[in-house]
Amino acid sequence: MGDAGSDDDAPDDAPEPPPIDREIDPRLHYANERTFLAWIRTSLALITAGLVVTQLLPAFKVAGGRRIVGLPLIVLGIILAVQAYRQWEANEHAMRGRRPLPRSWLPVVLAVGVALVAVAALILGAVAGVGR
Amino acid sequence: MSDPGVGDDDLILVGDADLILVGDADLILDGDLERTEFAWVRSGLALAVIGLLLLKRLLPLVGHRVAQGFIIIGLGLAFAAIGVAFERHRRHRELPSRSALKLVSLATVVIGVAALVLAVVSTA
Repeated sequence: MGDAGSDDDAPDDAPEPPPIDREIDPRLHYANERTFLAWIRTSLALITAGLVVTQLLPAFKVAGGRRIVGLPLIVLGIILAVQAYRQWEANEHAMRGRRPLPRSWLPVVLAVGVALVAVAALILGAVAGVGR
Repeated sequence: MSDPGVGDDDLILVGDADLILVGDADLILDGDLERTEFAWVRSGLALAVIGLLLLKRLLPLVGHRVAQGFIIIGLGLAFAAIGVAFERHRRHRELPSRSALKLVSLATVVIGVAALVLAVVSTA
């Protein structure tokens, strides 16, 4: 690994590996993997919330009210699951190439999506109310 | 995060200012590996529970009881195979493979699409 002191022991004729092939700290890989898994769990939580809203919640007085709240949550969960993998891959490429990690827009999408659904649920609950 | 080039008997600051003496950098790596394993276990459990919840709703749509049994057995075997594969992966302390993560992402998307179909076609 990246111990500067070990370079003195290396033979002089040993070729310097190109930057893209240099070994990087495995902990960074593990951290990236855990971040991916955390996004997957967030995605599963959104899908479950959407499923619970459409299947278990009492119906709103507005037709399709439960779907208005539940379907965007499920779609958001699917988007997050795909993007979590793409983000993991982008981070891996950046780490291997010794480049700064790419900016992730997943937190913004999640925050805006959940906020919109919450506002929709609030309006439906307050204005239309539940059917029974 | 501490310096990757840590040597023997280095002092390392970990977590909430707990100062520990580390004789081997592998200890830190083991901790990271363990946290990652727990993350895999939590994700696996979440995936299995949600899959089961979904299956409970979707199976009645299949109708035939023998077909329902085959679906459950098939999914159980698939989960067991994935578990064995990950355990072998962990024993060799390999870095995560692209296909493993792709599989988890794909499984989540499949569950999401199934949930979407269920939400559209049937509302309890």
